[in-house]
Amino acid sequence: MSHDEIKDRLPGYRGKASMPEDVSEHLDTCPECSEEFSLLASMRNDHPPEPDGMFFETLPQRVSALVQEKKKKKFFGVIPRFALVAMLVAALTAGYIYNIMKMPGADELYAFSDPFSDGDYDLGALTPDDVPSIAGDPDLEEAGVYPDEDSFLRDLASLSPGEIDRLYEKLRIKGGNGGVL
Amino acid sequence: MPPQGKPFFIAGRLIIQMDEDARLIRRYADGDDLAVEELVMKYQKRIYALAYRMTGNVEDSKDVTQKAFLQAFRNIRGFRMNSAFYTWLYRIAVNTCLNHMRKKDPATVEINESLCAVKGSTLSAMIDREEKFHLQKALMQLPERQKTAVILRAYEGLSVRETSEVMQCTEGAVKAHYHNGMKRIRTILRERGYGFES
Repeated sequence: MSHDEIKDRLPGYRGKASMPEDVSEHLDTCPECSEEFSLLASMRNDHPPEPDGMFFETLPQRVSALVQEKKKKKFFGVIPRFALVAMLVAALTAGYIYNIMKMPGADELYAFSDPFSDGDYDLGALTPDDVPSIAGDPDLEEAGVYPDEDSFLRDLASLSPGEIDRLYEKLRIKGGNGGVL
Repeated sequence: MPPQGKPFFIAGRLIIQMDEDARLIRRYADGDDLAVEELVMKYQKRIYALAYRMTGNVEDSKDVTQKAFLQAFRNIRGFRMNSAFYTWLYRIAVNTCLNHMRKKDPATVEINESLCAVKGSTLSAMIDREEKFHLQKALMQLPERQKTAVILRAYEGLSVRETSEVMQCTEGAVKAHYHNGMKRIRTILRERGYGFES
């Protein structure tokens, strides 16, 4: 073994008895390695002072207790987060259900009375020419629904824009041009 | 406890051979808290000695020893089983010591100057308190890396490879830090009047 190899291995030997013969012989002839080995021996004899009290007797239990405490904290630390998320989800769900219950139905939303839906008229069969004839129908005049042509027109004029649009739509579906409109 | 020699898995890794430390770690992972106590009991004196060499103070060494074990168990999943548990534990202990010393005010480092009187002596005879003090003081004067390499190699008896694992550097770097550290200690002790004799 070379000088450098022996020097690298010196910390591994506890005494001359534990080292191979060639290393021991090298130490006898090499002051540098001999000094190093002497210094290492001094270092190994320098034991740290014993800690006071029951340090070594109690450390295992203390570490174990602190490790368990950390585990518990970790577990319980998660619970408030779960609770917060659960509360948030519950509040959102309740709000959503409340809004659905409060929302008006389709009947309520489109609550307007169609003047034609109350009678026996088949609106699907109407043609553009039918509208004036309805207006001038003597039976209707007799029944007091439209006593004159003006009353029909007034009724028509009283319709809201939405109602007129729907009436127009019904007439248009049948391929007409909207009748009198 | 798994039967000896039978392959099994830990954290998805196939373990074919398992030493006593690995078995204790597995027991801990399985929820056996007594395994913590057994591991601490096994290594506490070595970690305390390492901490004392690094800090030069009993109280700091006690703090660092406890902190190092807590760090180790908190990060036990980081232990990959491809190195010995004690080199991994040493690495944590060394880092805990270095962090502790960096945080500590340098002015609070205890130096008892009354023990610094120069006396002629041989290193092989450095057995009394005063001589130990000079050796410890010389060690404390080394830069961090040199001090760590000297402590791990000279005091703890770790091999170059084990020291390189602890210090996370190459074996060449360990040799360089160790030899420079030892050289500097010899120089400091010579300046204080200590000679060398085998």
